[in-house]
Amino acid sequence: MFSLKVDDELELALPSESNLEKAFAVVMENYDHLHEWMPWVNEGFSLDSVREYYKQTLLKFATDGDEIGLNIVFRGEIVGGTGFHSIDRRDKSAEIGYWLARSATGKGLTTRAVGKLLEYGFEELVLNRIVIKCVPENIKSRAVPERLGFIEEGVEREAGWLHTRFVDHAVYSMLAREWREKLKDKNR
Amino acid sequence: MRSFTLDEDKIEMRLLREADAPELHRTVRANIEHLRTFLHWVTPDYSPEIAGEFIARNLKLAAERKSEGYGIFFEKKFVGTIGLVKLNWNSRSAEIGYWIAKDSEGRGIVTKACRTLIEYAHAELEMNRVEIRCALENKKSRAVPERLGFRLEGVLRQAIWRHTRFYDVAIYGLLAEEWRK
Repeated sequence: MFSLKVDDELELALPSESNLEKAFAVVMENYDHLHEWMPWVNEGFSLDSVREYYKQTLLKFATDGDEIGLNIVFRGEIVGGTGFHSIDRRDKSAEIGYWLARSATGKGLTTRAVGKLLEYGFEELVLNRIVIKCVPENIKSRAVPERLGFIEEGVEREAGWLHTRFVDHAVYSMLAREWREKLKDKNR
Repeated sequence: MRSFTLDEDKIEMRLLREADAPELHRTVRANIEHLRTFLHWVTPDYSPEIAGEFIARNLKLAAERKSEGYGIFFEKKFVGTIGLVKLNWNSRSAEIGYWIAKDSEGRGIVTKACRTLIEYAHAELEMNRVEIRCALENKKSRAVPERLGFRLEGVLRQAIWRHTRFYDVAIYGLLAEEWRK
């Protein structure tokens, strides 16, 4: 099964039927934590909706579709999700999203995971542009692109619907040439 | 089938049907150089079949409520298209896209058609946000949201690939409460 090894304790693995219930349990245990910023964590969330999502995302992965959904696995346990969506092969762009269980926060796991996705996106998927969109009030989420050196390009006003209200989307991006520059600086 | 008439009936907007394919094809062919810089689907091999497929897909997407693409007719002559190209019913937002033949520019046709579509999107479809994305260097296209009071929300760097290179994209937004004013 496809998996990206981030380091000795962290990997990003394609979901499979066998970890469906585990992934569902992690979301349910963190329901209030995730509900705050994740539009899909709502009353419609169920084992069946995860199963359906797994089916869709696996199909898209197999057919070079517009999405690659991955579980964040820390020391063998599923602690979150990340991956690419809105992959556009013509414009060579894609968007990254992520969520993490509360117990796994504060270790820089998301930043490490997204750092790995940048490498995979620019090198393997040959992307030119990678986007992260965050609700501006979601400080923890914004810290990820900011730490990784993304550029904030603007704010799409009321672009999202979060349970009961419209929310703005701050748009961050990194271009392939910027990523290569950062890599050079790191290896210097 | 939904249609709009405006500007003392000089301008008509309606869903394109199969019978419009020859005119769509002819107009695009006559404007290849004018259109190809910023529209990815305008290619040297643009054929009547491609025009027909576009219309069929357009009608299907309209039936599925995913988008609504309209032909623009000026004094009964087909001159371009305009559409709500992405209807997001969850976040109540829609994106507007358009093009017009070179010899019909300068009459404000797109701005008027756009105004009609915005009114429709807010009043009939109950959209909260209307968005227009233009290549940053496409000044004529950007003039439309600027005239209509959209706010420039950001510039997406190298966001689209057109034929030979990447272009930056200006993103404009207009909210329902701003439109009502």
